[in-house]
Amino acid sequence: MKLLKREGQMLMSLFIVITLITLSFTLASLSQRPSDHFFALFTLDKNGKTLNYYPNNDTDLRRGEELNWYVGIYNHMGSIQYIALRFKLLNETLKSPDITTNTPSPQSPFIEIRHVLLNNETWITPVDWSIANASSAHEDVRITGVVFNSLYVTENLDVSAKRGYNFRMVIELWVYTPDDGQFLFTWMSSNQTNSVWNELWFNMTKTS
Amino acid sequence: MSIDSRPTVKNRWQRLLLALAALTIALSVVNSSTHALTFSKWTTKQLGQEDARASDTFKLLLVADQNGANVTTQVDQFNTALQLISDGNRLIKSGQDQEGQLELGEADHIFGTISHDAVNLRNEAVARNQQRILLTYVSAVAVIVAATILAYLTLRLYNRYTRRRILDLQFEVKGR
Repeated sequence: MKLLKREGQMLMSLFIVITLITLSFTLASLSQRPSDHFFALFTLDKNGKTLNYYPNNDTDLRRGEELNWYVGIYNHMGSIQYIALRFKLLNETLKSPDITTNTPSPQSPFIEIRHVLLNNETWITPVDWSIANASSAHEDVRITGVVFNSLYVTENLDVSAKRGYNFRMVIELWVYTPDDGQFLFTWMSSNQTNSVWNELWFNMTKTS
Repeated sequence: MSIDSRPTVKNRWQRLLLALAALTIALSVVNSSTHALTFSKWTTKQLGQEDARASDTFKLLLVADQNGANVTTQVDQFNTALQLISDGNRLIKSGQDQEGQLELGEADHIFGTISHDAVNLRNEAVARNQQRILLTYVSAVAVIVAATILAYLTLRLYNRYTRRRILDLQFEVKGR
């Protein structure tokens, strides 16, 4: 009788130990590991590098001179993402996007490219552009038109800079948020708000 | 002498014809302006609709993706539709309304196909997930039972072996 009782206790303790071990493995295999979610945005030159963004490596552009860039995005958000690349032309005084407050530039984009990315996908799109319309008055140089991927654009383009110095092309990443039903400049990762943007500076001192 | 101001038969017909012509011109002007108004309204509505359609389709696709479905093909189709919308809007802006509307119509058709596929993919993925979870729990229970029985039997065998060793030792001691 005593022996039977001891065997019963042994069986029960074995069952409990094995159940605990197996359950911990099972739950670990079923639960998803939390990982850091992020986007990466990058702009490359025509050779896919970060060296020669400007023709003849001269940042002083002329009308009609074509720039060939590649803009890429890497999606590490853990699911498919619907994104919009917004291109804005600014001078040095117009407000930039702010990564600390996660606010975009208040300037309207002159072009927007939308795309859906798979998780862990890198998408690279060519961006060929040139300045089509520029004029100078007094000391200011004003850009009012560009050719962007063979499309002539004038909408939301009226930026001037003193003597044609310090124009910049700003590329902002906007992400579609299903809960809000709209594109936002920010995304959430580990309860933190994040945003990303690129800018490339250039001059246009000669409008002729 | 009185002047007869009533129109003659010939005059009457001329006036009637003139009035008809004026009415036709007026109607055609009103019609064309109404048509232009309707068309521009419809175009604006259509552009908004395409945007909303893309958003709705993306939401369905996202749900399927989050449930573990492979949506690679649908994402490719979605991007094709986005390109068509972009081209369509460009054509409409440049005055080629008919061509633009065709592109938008094509995009709408693609969104319809994707939505249909996304719902099916999502259902399949949910069923697969449920099956996987069930299988995991069933195998966990089977492993627990099998491991307990195996460990219990091993221990019993070990106990028996130990007992026999003790008995053998006792016999040896008695024999001496």
